[in-house]
Amino acid sequence: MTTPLLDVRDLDVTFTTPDGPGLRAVRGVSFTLRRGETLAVVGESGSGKSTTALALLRMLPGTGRITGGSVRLDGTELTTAPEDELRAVRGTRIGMVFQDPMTALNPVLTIGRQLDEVLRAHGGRDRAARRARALELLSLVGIPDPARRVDDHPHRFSGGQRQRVLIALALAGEPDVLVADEPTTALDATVQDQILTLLGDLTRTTGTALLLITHNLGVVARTCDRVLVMYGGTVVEDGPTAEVLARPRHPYTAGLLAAVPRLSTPSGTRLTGIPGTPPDLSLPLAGCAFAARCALAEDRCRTAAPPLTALATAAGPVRAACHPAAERSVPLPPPPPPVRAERPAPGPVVLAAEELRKTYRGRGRHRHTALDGVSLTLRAGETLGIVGESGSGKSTLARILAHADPADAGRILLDGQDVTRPGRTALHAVRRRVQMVFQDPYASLDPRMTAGDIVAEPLRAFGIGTPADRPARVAALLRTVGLDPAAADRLPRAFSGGQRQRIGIARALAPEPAVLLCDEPVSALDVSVQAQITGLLTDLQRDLGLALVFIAHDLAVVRQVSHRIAVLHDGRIVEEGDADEICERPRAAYTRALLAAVPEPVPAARAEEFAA
Amino acid sequence: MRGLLLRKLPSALLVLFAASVLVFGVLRLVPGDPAAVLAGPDAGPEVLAAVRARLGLDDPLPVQYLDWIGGLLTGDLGPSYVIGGETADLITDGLGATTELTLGALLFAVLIGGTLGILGATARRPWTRGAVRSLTTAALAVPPYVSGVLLVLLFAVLLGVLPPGGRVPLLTAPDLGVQYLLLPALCLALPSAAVLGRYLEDSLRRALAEDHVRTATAAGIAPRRILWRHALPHALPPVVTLLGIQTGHLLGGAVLVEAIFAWPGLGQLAEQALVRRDYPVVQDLLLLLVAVFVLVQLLSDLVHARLDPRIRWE
Ligand code: SF4
Repeated sequence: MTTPLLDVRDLDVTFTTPDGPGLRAVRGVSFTLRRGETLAVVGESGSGKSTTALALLRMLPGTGRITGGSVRLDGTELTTAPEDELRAVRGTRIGMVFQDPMTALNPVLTIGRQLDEVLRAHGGRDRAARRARALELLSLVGIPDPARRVDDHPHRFSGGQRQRVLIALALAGEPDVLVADEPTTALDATVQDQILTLLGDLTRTTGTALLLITHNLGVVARTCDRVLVMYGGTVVEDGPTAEVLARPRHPYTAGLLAAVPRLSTPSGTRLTGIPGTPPDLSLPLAGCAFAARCALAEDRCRTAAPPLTALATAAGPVRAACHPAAERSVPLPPPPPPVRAERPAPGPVVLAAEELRKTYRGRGRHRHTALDGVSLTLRAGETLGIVGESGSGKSTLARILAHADPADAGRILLDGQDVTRPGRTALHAVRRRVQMVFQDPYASLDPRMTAGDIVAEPLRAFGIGTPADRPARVAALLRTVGLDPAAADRLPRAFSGGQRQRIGIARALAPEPAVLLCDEPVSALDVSVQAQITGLLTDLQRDLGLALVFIAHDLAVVRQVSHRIAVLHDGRIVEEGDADEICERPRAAYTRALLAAVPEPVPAARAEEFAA
Repeated sequence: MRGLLLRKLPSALLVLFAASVLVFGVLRLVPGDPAAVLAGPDAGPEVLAAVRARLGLDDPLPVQYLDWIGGLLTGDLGPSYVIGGETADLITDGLGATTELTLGALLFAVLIGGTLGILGATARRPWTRGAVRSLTTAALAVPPYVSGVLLVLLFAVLLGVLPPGGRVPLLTAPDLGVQYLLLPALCLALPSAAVLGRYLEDSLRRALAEDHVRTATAAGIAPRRILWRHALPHALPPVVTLLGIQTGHLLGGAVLVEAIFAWPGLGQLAEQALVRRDYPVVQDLLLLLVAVFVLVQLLSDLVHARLDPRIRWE
């Protein structure tokens, strides 16, 4: 067997903190990458996947340092190489594509200049030749009409195009390895699909090896031959993608797979999340990183760290770090089929919108029609899913329904009454009946207020209860959303992302609304936590008879939580109807395109389900 | 670029117009009759009336205002009765001197501030950063009349290498002119250099922490080149706006520095005109100052837009 192109052994990365022993973000990670191979590193936030990628090129942010192990590229050690030797590796041997195309390009330089800079760094002497090569690279990554676009600045390009430019930058030095850190996370599903196709094509045609860092199992299945699953800074499982995703050996991989919403799962099905939260990386780890959340944990799991053990499978060797798995020759049993929860039939219509229109005025004569005649109805105890990509008008719709923005035309009816342009008192009443849950649980909570104050704020604003009984109400609300009332005096930063979203929901529930408008409520959360939040919303709906508007870009999540779905595109509802009906028999061409773009983690499993 | 100019021009003209009305009005409200000053304390009422008529002070206010503006537009500012000579000549002489001083100071401010800012943002050793920090603090804290005296003591009295005051126009005798310019320009520049340095350091540090710097590093571009070709262009636009504001401060500071170094500029002229109540000259000077402010602002907006393409399209 030939020596691997990239050989990472026992890599350790520590971030020093002002107090305490520091944060061990990567703990003994080992893997290899062969020439032309595609390997996905998958994990949730805090798993150490991005840190591992950055450590390869010694580009760790802040106080991060490699504290152990080795990274060998074609036999050359990189962890101890001098800085200028490393610079010769960057770009030419290992190219990197970063997350968030909005900030990864320099806004004040034309993309031609940025490409030119990189080509120059790789020894391109002749100016004209560099320019010709820049044009070639741009057309390679699918920028139409490169000769005309090359002198444009980044803000003239769409998000997807910027991502393409970033790929062109990474390819400029013709690297042997392309490391892509969440290259499609900020993009719409249809654009993500195009970028993944591009990456696949490029690696196939140029023979470049791909190391893809992602949290999305669908992306893994779609792009890579091999997958490495990380949890709590350690590798928990590693093997051929088809094998690992279809027959996981490690309980965490299995849990993650079960938590991913599938497009094929019918409406009303409860997602199965993984209970608990990821480990605290500043603490030393005695046993298995997953022990606190693992249903199969035994005593030895908490004292001895399970080694990565090779297991032979039909598809090739799979390594798993789990005590029981090492002794088992068979994969874990598949998760029990999801149960469809009984849902009471929806009640009378609470909220209706008729022919809503909204146009935003840009500079000069430019106008942007955000909503172009949108009508919808929402019944008590019903969830209406609204799906759309960026620019579809879904956030504008949420703002108008929440009375944060006035509509230009159309009507909004709440409990049969026209509240399109409410007076002061009417607006107060409307705000009480219709509450919002926001996407980003980090940004939507005031960092200086305690959880209790955040939840109590609407109580004060709407004059609910007396100052004396408010603490009891707050405690009850926190309990309703599954938080310990004792945590009321802590600040938002003391909570995890999922817990913060629970605080946001408790705040929205405080004035006892009839309608909850949820704008991308789970898209900033890890998959294993998403299920906890969607489950909570479903429970609240059942117990309180809430009507939910669930706005999201992820069709699979929307199908599971919604009774009905409306597909929004360019400010219009292109299709609306029963959630299962829309996903299985879409009529609009746009809906079909949207469905086709969603990458499924286990295509085979999907086929089986349809057969059953 | 022309679009931006057309967009900014109306507001600039409006500011000028408002300023002219304000200046005109305020000078009519302040106590003290220029005619009385000119005629002397012993003048009888007839003499006073004659002087008033000659100055045009008997005309209705709108007529006086229009006369003034008309004169400004045609370049005919009329004679200065108190100081003597043509007002236009007085102002042209002073303007040359002050422009020389301000531009010299601007150059110093950019050089010193730029060096301090780049050093402060890129220095690895805490020692260097500390030194930069104390230098800027000192430059900010010391007022020009202290730093001016110190500079004169050091370079003119102790070392005797530079003249302590006065001016030789740069254009007539460059070598001698530079010697006279150095000290006042440096004295005037120090506070602005410190502000610029601090601001650039901050802006540059933020630019170096941007994601696109990481992109460039990962592509194998050398750190020095990243600093000059990637981070600096990104850090510069806000600094240019600040530079515009600082230029205004320099003009204001020039009044003080001119007094310290006996520099015959507009500051000196303004002082004379104010003390001797030569209102026509004061009036012209104030408006000129506003015009320069507006022009500098306009220029810095244009340069900002040149440097930051996002502004051009907004
Ligand atoms: S080692 Fe134990 S705790 Fe860890 S995954 Fe396996 S069974 Fe669970």
